[in-house]
Amino acid sequence: MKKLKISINDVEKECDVLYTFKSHSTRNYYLICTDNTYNNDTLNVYSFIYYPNDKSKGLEKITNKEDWDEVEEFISLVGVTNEFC
Amino acid sequence: MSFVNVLLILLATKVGISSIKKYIIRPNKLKMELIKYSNTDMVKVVDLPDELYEGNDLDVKENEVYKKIYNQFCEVIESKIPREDLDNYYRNFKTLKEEKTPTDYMLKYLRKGQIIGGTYNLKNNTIDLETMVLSKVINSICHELLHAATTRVDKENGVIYSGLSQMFINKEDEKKNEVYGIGINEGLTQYYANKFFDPNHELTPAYSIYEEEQMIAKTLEKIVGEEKLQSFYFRSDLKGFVTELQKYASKEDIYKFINYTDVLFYYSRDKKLKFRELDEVKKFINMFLIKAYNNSLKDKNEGLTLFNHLGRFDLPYKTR
Repeated sequence: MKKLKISINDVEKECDVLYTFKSHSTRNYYLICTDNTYNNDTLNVYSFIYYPNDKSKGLEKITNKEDWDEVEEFISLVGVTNEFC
Repeated sequence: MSFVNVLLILLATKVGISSIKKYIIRPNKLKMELIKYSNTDMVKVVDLPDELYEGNDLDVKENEVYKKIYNQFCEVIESKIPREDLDNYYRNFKTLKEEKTPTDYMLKYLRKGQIIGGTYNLKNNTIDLETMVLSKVINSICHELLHAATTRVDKENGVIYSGLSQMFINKEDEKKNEVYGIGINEGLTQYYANKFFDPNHELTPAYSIYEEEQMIAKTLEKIVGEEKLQSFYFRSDLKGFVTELQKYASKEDIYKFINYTDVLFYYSRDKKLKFRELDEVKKFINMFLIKAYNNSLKDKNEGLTLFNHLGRFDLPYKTR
Protein backbone atom coordinates (compact mmCIF):
# COMPACT_ATOMS: atom_id res chain seq x y z
CA MET A 1 0.00 0.00 0.00
CA LYS A 2 1.28 3.46 -0.86
CA LYS A 3 2.18 5.58 2.11
CA LEU A 4 2.54 9.24 2.87
CA LYS A 5 3.25 11.34 5.91
CA ILE A 6 1.06 14.26 6.90
CA SER A 7 1.06 16.62 9.81
CA ILE A 8 -2.04 18.15 11.35
CA ASN A 9 -1.39 20.84 13.94
CA ASP A 10 2.16 19.57 14.31
CA VAL A 11 1.07 16.00 14.94
CA GLU A 12 2.65 13.75 12.36
CA LYS A 13 0.67 10.85 10.99
CA GLU A 14 1.90 8.10 8.74
CA CYS A 15 -0.92 7.24 6.40
CA ASP A 16 -1.85 4.54 3.93
CA VAL A 17 -3.36 5.78 0.71
CA LEU A 18 -6.76 4.18 0.29
CA TYR A 19 -8.24 5.80 -2.80
CA THR A 20 -7.66 8.42 -5.39
CA PHE A 21 -10.51 9.50 -7.60
CA LYS A 22 -11.72 12.25 -9.85
CA SER A 23 -14.94 14.16 -9.38
CA HIS A 24 -16.81 15.17 -12.46
CA SER A 25 -18.66 17.97 -10.80
CA THR A 26 -15.69 19.75 -9.20
CA ARG A 27 -13.19 18.40 -11.77
CA ASN A 28 -10.72 17.84 -8.96
CA TYR A 29 -8.80 14.71 -8.07
CA TYR A 30 -8.89 13.65 -4.44
CA LEU A 31 -6.73 11.42 -2.32
CA ILE A 32 -8.12 9.59 0.68
CA CYS A 33 -5.76 8.16 3.25
CA THR A 34 -5.92 6.71 6.73
CA ASP A 35 -3.59 6.73 9.71
CA ASN A 36 -5.18 3.37 10.64
CA THR A 37 -6.70 4.72 13.81
CA TYR A 38 -10.26 3.83 14.74
CA ASN A 39 -13.00 5.61 16.54
CA ASN A 40 -14.99 2.67 17.91
CA ASP A 41 -15.40 0.57 14.75
CA THR A 42 -14.95 3.45 12.38
CA LEU A 43 -11.74 3.99 10.47
CA ASN A 44 -10.50 7.57 10.52
CA VAL A 45 -9.73 8.88 7.04
CA TYR A 46 -8.34 12.13 5.70
CA SER A 47 -8.63 13.68 2.29
CA PHE A 48 -6.76 16.14 0.12
CA ILE A 49 -6.93 17.56 -3.37
CA TYR A 50 -4.42 15.70 -5.47
CA TYR A 51 -2.73 16.41 -8.81
CA PRO A 52 -1.87 12.97 -10.19
CA ASN A 53 0.22 14.30 -13.03
CA ASP A 54 2.06 17.06 -11.22
CA LYS A 55 3.95 16.25 -8.04
CA SER A 56 5.20 19.81 -7.69
CA LYS A 57 1.71 20.93 -6.71
CA GLY A 58 1.76 18.55 -3.76
CA LEU A 59 -1.45 17.85 -1.89
CA GLU A 60 -3.81 20.71 -1.32
CA LYS A 61 -5.99 21.28 1.73
CA ILE A 62 -9.70 20.95 1.16
CA THR A 63 -11.26 24.22 2.10
CA ASN A 64 -14.76 24.31 0.72
CA LYS A 65 -17.98 22.43 1.28
CA GLU A 66 -18.34 21.31 -2.33
CA ASP A 67 -15.07 19.39 -2.15
CA TRP A 68 -15.90 17.85 1.23
CA ASP A 69 -19.30 16.78 -0.12
CA GLU A 70 -17.67 15.03 -3.07
CA VAL A 71 -15.33 13.10 -0.80
CA GLU A 72 -18.15 12.18 1.56
CA GLU A 73 -20.25 10.94 -1.32
CA PHE A 74 -17.35 8.87 -2.60
CA ILE A 75 -16.79 7.35 0.83
CA SER A 76 -20.45 6.43 1.04
CA LEU A 77 -20.09 4.54 -2.26
CA VAL A 78 -16.89 2.66 -1.57
CA GLY A 79 -15.82 0.60 1.35
CA VAL A 80 -18.03 -2.29 0.40
CA THR A 81 -16.25 -5.60 0.46
CA ASN A 82 -17.82 -8.89 -0.49
CA GLU A 83 -17.28 -11.88 1.68
CA PHE A 84 -18.57 -15.42 1.49
CA CYS A 85 -20.31 -16.70 4.56
CA MET B 1 -27.76 -15.08 10.35
CA SER B 2 -30.28 -13.44 8.14
CA PHE B 3 -33.98 -14.24 8.05
CA VAL B 4 -33.55 -15.74 4.56
CA ASN B 5 -30.82 -18.08 5.80
CA VAL B 6 -32.99 -19.24 8.69
CA LEU B 7 -35.80 -19.93 6.24
CA LEU B 8 -33.45 -21.88 3.95
CA ILE B 9 -32.23 -24.03 6.81
CA LEU B 10 -35.78 -24.67 8.06
CA LEU B 11 -36.83 -25.58 4.54
CA ALA B 12 -33.84 -27.85 4.12
CA THR B 13 -34.58 -29.61 7.39
CA LYS B 14 -38.19 -30.11 6.41
CA VAL B 15 -37.34 -31.73 3.07
CA GLY B 16 -34.65 -33.85 4.64
CA ILE B 17 -31.52 -32.26 3.25
CA SER B 18 -28.81 -32.74 5.84
CA SER B 19 -26.69 -29.77 4.88
CA ILE B 20 -26.94 -26.88 2.51
CA LYS B 21 -24.06 -24.95 1.10
CA LYS B 22 -24.36 -21.26 1.54
CA TYR B 23 -22.92 -19.07 -1.13
CA ILE B 24 -24.52 -15.87 -0.15
CA ILE B 25 -22.61 -12.72 -0.83
CA ARG B 26 -22.99 -10.44 2.09
CA PRO B 27 -22.00 -6.85 1.53
CA ASN B 28 -19.82 -5.78 4.39
CA LYS B 29 -19.46 -2.07 4.63
CA LEU B 30 -16.24 -0.76 6.03
CA LYS B 31 -17.16 2.21 8.14
CA MET B 32 -15.03 5.25 7.51
CA GLU B 33 -15.17 8.60 9.18
CA LEU B 34 -13.87 11.54 7.25
CA ILE B 35 -11.92 13.78 9.57
CA LYS B 36 -12.58 17.26 8.32
CA TYR B 37 -9.77 19.52 9.36
CA SER B 38 -10.75 23.16 9.62
CA ASN B 39 -9.38 25.98 7.50
CA THR B 40 -7.34 27.16 10.46
CA ASP B 41 -5.75 23.79 11.15
CA MET B 42 -2.09 23.56 10.21
CA VAL B 43 -2.09 20.81 7.65
CA LYS B 44 1.17 19.85 5.97
CA VAL B 45 2.35 17.01 3.85
CA VAL B 46 5.63 15.87 5.39
CA ASP B 47 6.51 13.17 2.92
CA LEU B 48 4.96 12.69 -0.48
CA PRO B 49 6.54 9.63 -2.08
CA ASP B 50 7.21 9.44 -5.80
CA GLU B 51 5.32 6.18 -6.04
CA LEU B 52 2.07 8.11 -5.68
CA TYR B 53 2.78 9.55 -9.09
CA GLU B 54 4.10 6.45 -10.75
CA GLY B 55 1.97 4.63 -13.24
CA ASN B 56 -0.57 7.41 -13.57
CA ASP B 57 0.13 7.56 -17.26
CA LEU B 58 -1.14 4.04 -17.77
CA ASP B 59 -3.16 3.89 -20.91
CA VAL B 60 -6.47 2.47 -19.81
CA LYS B 61 -6.98 1.07 -23.29
CA GLU B 62 -4.19 -1.37 -22.54
CA ASN B 63 -6.14 -2.76 -19.68
CA GLU B 64 -7.16 -6.26 -20.58
CA VAL B 65 -10.80 -5.94 -19.64
CA TYR B 66 -11.21 -2.61 -21.29
CA LYS B 67 -9.47 -3.73 -24.44
CA LYS B 68 -11.75 -6.72 -24.72
CA ILE B 69 -14.86 -4.58 -24.36
CA TYR B 70 -13.47 -2.02 -26.79
CA ASN B 71 -12.81 -4.65 -29.46
CA GLN B 72 -16.18 -6.23 -28.92
CA PHE B 73 -17.83 -2.85 -29.27
CA CYS B 74 -16.09 -2.11 -32.58
CA GLU B 75 -16.97 -5.53 -33.92
CA VAL B 76 -20.67 -5.14 -33.11
CA ILE B 77 -20.96 -1.58 -34.42
CA GLU B 78 -19.16 -2.34 -37.67
CA SER B 79 -21.32 -5.39 -38.29
CA LYS B 80 -24.67 -3.82 -37.39
CA ILE B 81 -24.48 -0.25 -38.63
CA PRO B 82 -24.09 0.62 -42.33
CA ARG B 83 -20.72 2.18 -43.22
CA GLU B 84 -22.33 5.37 -44.54
CA ASP B 85 -23.67 6.12 -41.04
CA LEU B 86 -20.33 5.61 -39.33
CA ASP B 87 -18.31 8.68 -40.28
CA ASN B 88 -18.39 10.01 -36.71
CA TYR B 89 -17.38 6.60 -35.38
CA TYR B 90 -14.38 6.20 -37.68
CA ARG B 91 -13.20 9.77 -37.15
CA ASN B 92 -13.49 9.72 -33.36
CA PHE B 93 -12.20 6.23 -32.77
CA LYS B 94 -8.96 6.95 -34.50
CA THR B 95 -8.29 9.66 -31.94
CA LEU B 96 -10.18 8.38 -28.92
CA LYS B 97 -8.28 8.80 -25.70
CA GLU B 98 -9.12 7.60 -22.23
CA GLU B 99 -8.50 10.18 -19.62
CA LYS B 100 -5.83 8.95 -17.30
CA THR B 101 -7.30 7.47 -14.20
CA PRO B 102 -4.93 6.73 -11.32
CA THR B 103 -3.75 3.24 -12.02
CA ASP B 104 -3.89 1.87 -8.55
CA TYR B 105 -7.47 3.01 -8.14
CA MET B 106 -8.56 1.44 -11.38
CA LEU B 107 -6.77 -1.85 -10.79
CA LYS B 108 -7.76 -2.05 -7.17
CA TYR B 109 -11.40 -1.83 -8.08
CA LEU B 110 -11.09 -4.17 -11.00
CA ARG B 111 -9.76 -6.78 -8.61
CA LYS B 112 -12.33 -6.06 -6.00
CA GLY B 113 -15.14 -6.44 -8.45
CA GLN B 114 -15.79 -2.77 -8.72
CA ILE B 115 -14.74 -0.67 -11.61
CA ILE B 116 -15.11 2.61 -13.18
CA GLY B 117 -17.88 3.62 -15.45
CA GLY B 118 -18.21 6.98 -16.79
CA THR B 119 -18.86 10.03 -18.75
CA TYR B 120 -17.90 10.85 -22.27
CA ASN B 121 -16.34 14.26 -22.59
CA LEU B 122 -17.70 15.67 -25.82
CA LYS B 123 -15.22 18.46 -26.08
CA ASN B 124 -12.00 16.54 -25.63
CA ASN B 125 -13.11 13.21 -27.04
CA THR B 126 -12.13 11.47 -23.84
CA ILE B 127 -13.83 9.02 -21.53
CA ASP B 128 -13.71 9.70 -17.82
CA LEU B 129 -14.20 6.79 -15.57
CA GLU B 130 -15.74 6.56 -12.15
CA THR B 131 -16.71 3.95 -9.59
CA MET B 132 -19.29 1.35 -10.28
CA VAL B 133 -19.89 -2.35 -9.86
CA LEU B 134 -18.42 -4.87 -12.27
CA SER B 135 -21.77 -5.98 -13.63
CA LYS B 136 -22.24 -2.52 -15.04
CA VAL B 137 -18.89 -2.30 -16.75
CA ILE B 138 -19.59 -3.60 -20.20
CA ASN B 139 -22.89 -1.86 -20.51
CA SER B 140 -21.54 1.37 -19.11
CA ILE B 141 -18.43 1.47 -21.27
CA CYS B 142 -20.49 0.60 -24.35
CA HIS B 143 -22.84 3.45 -23.45
CA GLU B 144 -19.92 5.90 -23.32
CA LEU B 145 -18.36 4.47 -26.47
CA LEU B 146 -21.69 4.98 -28.23
CA HIS B 147 -21.51 8.66 -27.31
CA ALA B 148 -17.98 8.73 -28.67
CA ALA B 149 -19.14 7.05 -31.88
CA THR B 150 -21.94 9.54 -32.49
CA THR B 151 -20.37 12.90 -31.79
CA ARG B 152 -19.09 15.62 -34.08
CA VAL B 153 -17.91 19.11 -33.24
CA ASP B 154 -18.71 22.23 -35.24
CA LYS B 155 -16.02 24.52 -33.88
CA GLU B 156 -16.95 27.42 -36.13
CA ASN B 157 -20.48 27.69 -34.76
CA GLY B 158 -19.65 26.42 -31.30
CA VAL B 159 -22.00 23.46 -31.44
CA ILE B 160 -21.35 19.86 -30.47
CA TYR B 161 -23.70 17.36 -32.07
CA SER B 162 -23.95 14.13 -30.15
CA GLY B 163 -26.48 11.54 -31.29
CA LEU B 164 -29.79 13.37 -31.19
CA SER B 165 -28.61 16.10 -28.84
CA GLN B 166 -26.91 19.40 -29.46
CA MET B 167 -24.69 21.31 -27.09
CA PHE B 168 -24.27 25.03 -27.61
CA ILE B 169 -20.92 26.05 -26.21
CA ASN B 170 -20.60 29.15 -24.07
CA LYS B 171 -17.05 30.18 -24.78
CA GLU B 172 -16.80 32.33 -21.67
CA ASP B 173 -18.16 29.85 -19.16
CA GLU B 174 -18.27 26.13 -19.82
CA LYS B 175 -20.83 25.63 -17.07
CA LYS B 176 -23.27 27.73 -19.07
CA ASN B 177 -23.22 25.41 -22.07
CA GLU B 178 -26.76 24.63 -23.17
CA VAL B 179 -27.81 21.16 -24.18
CA TYR B 180 -30.90 20.34 -26.17
CA GLY B 181 -32.17 16.80 -26.71
CA ILE B 182 -30.18 15.21 -23.90
CA GLY B 183 -33.17 13.20 -22.63
CA ILE B 184 -33.83 11.54 -25.98
CA ASN B 185 -30.15 11.05 -26.60
CA GLU B 186 -29.39 9.39 -23.27
CA GLY B 187 -32.46 7.17 -23.59
CA LEU B 188 -31.52 6.18 -27.10
CA THR B 189 -27.88 5.57 -26.16
CA GLN B 190 -28.83 3.29 -23.28
CA TYR B 191 -31.47 1.60 -25.43
CA TYR B 192 -28.83 0.83 -28.08
CA ALA B 193 -26.28 -0.19 -25.45
CA ASN B 194 -28.80 -2.77 -24.23
CA LYS B 195 -30.00 -3.76 -27.66
CA PHE B 196 -26.57 -4.25 -29.22
CA PHE B 197 -24.48 -5.35 -26.26
CA ASP B 198 -26.87 -6.73 -23.68
CA PRO B 199 -29.78 -8.27 -25.57
CA ASN B 200 -30.38 -10.92 -22.92
CA HIS B 201 -30.53 -8.39 -20.09
CA GLU B 202 -27.54 -10.04 -18.41
CA LEU B 203 -25.97 -6.83 -17.31
CA THR B 204 -28.68 -5.68 -14.97
CA PRO B 205 -29.05 -3.37 -13.12
CA ALA B 206 -27.34 -1.23 -15.73
CA TYR B 207 -30.10 -2.29 -18.08
CA SER B 208 -32.63 -0.23 -16.22
CA ILE B 209 -30.69 3.01 -16.33
CA TYR B 210 -32.64 5.82 -18.01
CA GLU B 211 -35.73 3.65 -17.93
CA GLU B 212 -38.28 6.29 -18.91
CA GLU B 213 -36.02 7.76 -21.57
CA GLN B 214 -35.49 4.26 -22.98
CA MET B 215 -39.24 3.76 -23.19
CA ILE B 216 -39.43 6.95 -25.23
CA ALA B 217 -36.54 5.81 -27.45
CA LYS B 218 -38.21 2.48 -28.09
CA THR B 219 -41.45 4.19 -29.12
CA LEU B 220 -39.57 6.59 -31.38
CA GLU B 221 -38.04 3.56 -33.07
CA LYS B 222 -41.55 2.29 -33.79
CA ILE B 223 -42.63 5.65 -35.16
CA VAL B 224 -39.62 6.55 -37.29
CA GLY B 225 -38.45 3.03 -38.09
CA GLU B 226 -35.46 1.09 -36.77
CA GLU B 227 -32.99 1.83 -39.56
CA LYS B 228 -33.89 5.48 -39.99
CA LEU B 229 -33.62 6.24 -36.30
CA GLN B 230 -30.24 4.49 -36.09
CA SER B 231 -29.05 6.48 -39.06
CA PHE B 232 -30.11 9.85 -37.54
CA TYR B 233 -28.47 8.87 -34.28
CA PHE B 234 -25.15 7.69 -35.68
CA ARG B 235 -24.95 10.65 -38.06
CA SER B 236 -25.88 12.95 -35.14
CA ASP B 237 -28.58 14.41 -37.34
CA LEU B 238 -31.17 15.96 -35.03
CA LYS B 239 -32.43 18.15 -37.85
CA GLY B 240 -33.09 15.12 -40.07
CA PHE B 241 -34.83 13.41 -37.18
CA VAL B 242 -37.13 16.40 -36.61
CA THR B 243 -37.92 16.60 -40.34
CA GLU B 244 -38.80 12.90 -40.35
CA LEU B 245 -41.00 13.27 -37.28
CA GLN B 246 -42.83 16.15 -38.95
CA LYS B 247 -44.58 13.56 -41.07
CA TYR B 248 -46.43 12.55 -37.93
CA ALA B 249 -46.52 15.63 -35.72
CA SER B 250 -46.28 19.41 -35.90
CA LYS B 251 -42.88 21.06 -35.63
CA GLU B 252 -44.05 22.98 -32.57
CA ASP B 253 -45.10 19.77 -30.79
CA ILE B 254 -41.85 18.04 -31.74
CA TYR B 255 -39.72 20.79 -30.19
CA LYS B 256 -41.94 20.79 -27.12
CA PHE B 257 -41.64 17.00 -26.89
CA ILE B 258 -37.83 17.14 -27.09
CA ASN B 259 -37.76 19.89 -24.52
CA TYR B 260 -40.08 18.02 -22.15
CA THR B 261 -37.98 14.87 -22.47
CA ASP B 262 -35.01 16.98 -21.33
CA VAL B 263 -37.04 18.18 -18.35
CA LEU B 264 -37.87 14.57 -17.51
CA PHE B 265 -34.19 13.64 -17.79
CA TYR B 266 -33.03 16.41 -15.47
CA TYR B 267 -35.82 15.74 -13.01
CA SER B 268 -34.98 12.05 -12.70
CA ARG B 269 -31.25 12.83 -12.31
CA ASP B 270 -31.71 15.50 -9.70
CA LYS B 271 -34.70 15.19 -7.42
CA LYS B 272 -33.83 18.51 -5.86
CA LEU B 273 -35.04 20.12 -9.01
CA LYS B 274 -38.64 20.92 -8.25
CA PHE B 275 -40.94 20.70 -11.18
CA ARG B 276 -44.56 21.00 -10.20
CA GLU B 277 -45.85 20.23 -13.64
CA LEU B 278 -43.98 16.95 -14.00
CA ASP B 279 -47.27 15.10 -14.48
CA GLU B 280 -48.16 17.51 -17.25
CA VAL B 281 -44.78 16.83 -18.85
CA LYS B 282 -45.33 13.08 -18.77
CA LYS B 283 -48.88 13.45 -20.06
CA PHE B 284 -47.70 15.56 -22.96
CA ILE B 285 -44.91 13.10 -23.83
CA ASN B 286 -47.39 10.21 -23.72
CA MET B 287 -49.95 11.99 -25.86
CA PHE B 288 -47.30 13.10 -28.33
CA LEU B 289 -45.97 9.56 -28.74
CA ILE B 290 -49.42 7.98 -29.01
CA LYS B 291 -50.51 10.55 -31.60
CA ALA B 292 -47.31 10.32 -33.63
CA TYR B 293 -47.37 6.52 -33.46
CA ASN B 294 -50.96 6.40 -34.61
CA ASN B 295 -50.17 8.78 -37.46
CA SER B 296 -47.20 6.64 -38.45
CA LEU B 297 -49.47 3.59 -38.59
CA LYS B 298 -51.82 5.46 -40.89
CA ASP B 299 -48.82 6.39 -42.99
CA LYS B 300 -47.84 2.76 -43.25
CA ASN B 301 -51.46 1.79 -43.98
CA GLU B 302 -51.52 -0.13 -40.75
CA GLY B 303 -53.84 2.24 -38.92
CA LEU B 304 -56.88 0.98 -37.15
CA THR B 305 -59.73 0.64 -39.59
CA LEU B 306 -62.40 -0.46 -37.15
CA PHE B 307 -65.85 0.77 -38.10
CA ASN B 308 -64.60 2.29 -41.31
CA HIS B 309 -67.13 0.19 -43.18
CA LEU B 310 -69.95 1.68 -41.20
CA GLY B 311 -71.81 4.55 -42.71
CA ARG B 312 -73.10 7.44 -40.74
CA PHE B 313 -76.50 5.84 -40.24
CA ASP B 314 -75.27 2.30 -39.80
CA LEU B 315 -74.21 2.42 -36.18
CA PRO B 316 -74.36 -1.07 -34.73
CA TYR B 317 -76.23 -0.02 -31.63
CA LYS B 318 -79.04 2.45 -31.43
CA THR B 319 -78.74 4.68 -28.46
CA ARG B 320 -82.44 5.43 -28.38
